Amino acid sequence: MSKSSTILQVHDICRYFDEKEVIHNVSFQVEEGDIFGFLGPNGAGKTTIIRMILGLIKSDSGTIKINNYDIKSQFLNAINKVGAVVETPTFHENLSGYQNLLLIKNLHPELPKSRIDEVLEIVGLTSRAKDKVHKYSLGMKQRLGLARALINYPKIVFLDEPTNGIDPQGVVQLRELIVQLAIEEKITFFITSHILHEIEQICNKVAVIKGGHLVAHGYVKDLLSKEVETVDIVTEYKKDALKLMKPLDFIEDMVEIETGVRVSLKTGHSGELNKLLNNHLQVDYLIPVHQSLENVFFELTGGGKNE
Amino acid sequence: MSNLIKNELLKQLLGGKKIYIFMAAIVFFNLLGVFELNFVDIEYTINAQNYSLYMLATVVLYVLPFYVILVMTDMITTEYVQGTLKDTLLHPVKRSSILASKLIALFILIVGFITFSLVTNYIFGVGFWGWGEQFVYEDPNYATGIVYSSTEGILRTIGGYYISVLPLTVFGLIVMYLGFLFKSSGVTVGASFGLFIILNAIGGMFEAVRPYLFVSYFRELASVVFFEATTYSIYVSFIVLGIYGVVGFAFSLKIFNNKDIFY
Repeated sequence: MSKSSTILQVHDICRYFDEKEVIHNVSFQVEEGDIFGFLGPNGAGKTTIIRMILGLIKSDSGTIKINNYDIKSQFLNAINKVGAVVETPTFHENLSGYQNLLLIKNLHPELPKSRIDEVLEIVGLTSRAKDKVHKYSLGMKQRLGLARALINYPKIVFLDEPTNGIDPQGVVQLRELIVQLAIEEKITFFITSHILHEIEQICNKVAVIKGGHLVAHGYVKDLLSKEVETVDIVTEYKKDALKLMKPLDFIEDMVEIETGVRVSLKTGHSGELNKLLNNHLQVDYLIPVHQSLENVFFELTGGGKNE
Repeated sequence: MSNLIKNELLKQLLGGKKIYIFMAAIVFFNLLGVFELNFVDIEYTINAQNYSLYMLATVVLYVLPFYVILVMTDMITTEYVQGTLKDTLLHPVKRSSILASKLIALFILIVGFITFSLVTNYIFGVGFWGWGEQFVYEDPNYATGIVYSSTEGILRTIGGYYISVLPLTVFGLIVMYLGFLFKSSGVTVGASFGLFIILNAIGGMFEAVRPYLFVSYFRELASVVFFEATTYSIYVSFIVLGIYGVVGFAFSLKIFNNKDIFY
């Protein structure tokens, strides 16, 4: 086995459902130590891709390697050091939190029983460990799901919308926990979240998917430093503004928003735009938009909708 | 594998009340036998020695098939739809091992119920009729029954009880296959129950096909092996059950190996 620092390699994967291609030639890779954000509108194919990576859904073509092991031909090795919470975590509701973790510990005979107490401690559920899971809140189930994902000392952990159902304080705690585990335990995280602000805060890399296609992939800092600036033109005359700006070659993209039009333009042309608009249109304000991951996401996905 | 089996047993023993409900059902049906025998004239002596054997058919025909349907549906369809099957698949375990462990766990649970039924029937037998002096077997070919020594009668009874685990486990394999076909536990239970009723009806109508239906052996395998070799020869019985078992497992494994896990 080669000594590569790539822990997850997804190459050219495709998947058809009823002859419709839902995942189209998706490729990306995740390096050890990354906190990787996986973004896309609802129905973009995020969960399908996670399930394909984890061997739950088979790909029609392409390869997936975890820790250099092929998920199809070397499944047992590939999955051995993986933790995952896919969608809302599910449990045997009539068993306690501890018993649910025991079921997973039993799948890794090399683990000592004390590991269950350790992961319960990490997620702060020690005092509720003996309660049946049907008495847990959604937030507690999310934490128990994380405990389950950590039980086998994973090298990579997949978290699908991990903050669903968690209160704001819990979200902050979870974010801190993820960063702490990434630093102290050297765990790589692969996270999907619809809260882009969270992803921006903790992830160093992201991939954006739309309609089963990968539309961007790279370091968060690179995506944010694009040579494009965004301006919101606040005006009642949206159609006129769109018509006026259409021929301009420094305009990259225009989207109607509630208060007017959001424009992405090449850096350095905002003054020119300002002058043009003021001469031809009644504009209330021009508001420069801070380049955030949210903006990048909306630009890439056309307002967060799938085609 | 042993840990997987342990998990399945843990889920069944601690995860619900089903096991206790069926234990209560066994006690109820076994007591019903006592009640029935007090109102029916029979040509031979009932006592603790042969009461267990008398009640075997009731347990394997009217109680345990329903337990098999419910437990296997739980293990396959319910776990798939609830998403807990996925949790096991996210760990280094072969899908074939998961299926085998579910089957072995079912086998162990049936053995447990069979043992429970055997013991309660001996207790009820002693309580209502006393131990008795001889073991009389109600052979349909002899109106007065056949007499065995106590030891031989008890050994044949025990053998009859435990051999009945085999056809019930084979039924579990058939339910397992049905469990993969449907996305609703209710549909799996309904289809399994329907199959059980239809096959029993076919067996009732056409004597010639009876030896080739696995449901016939719930009741008959004990007789075939330990008491009377009628049209069901021992070889045919085991070959038929073996074929159902192998085909059921192979089909279940094929469908499971190719199954995408969406829940």
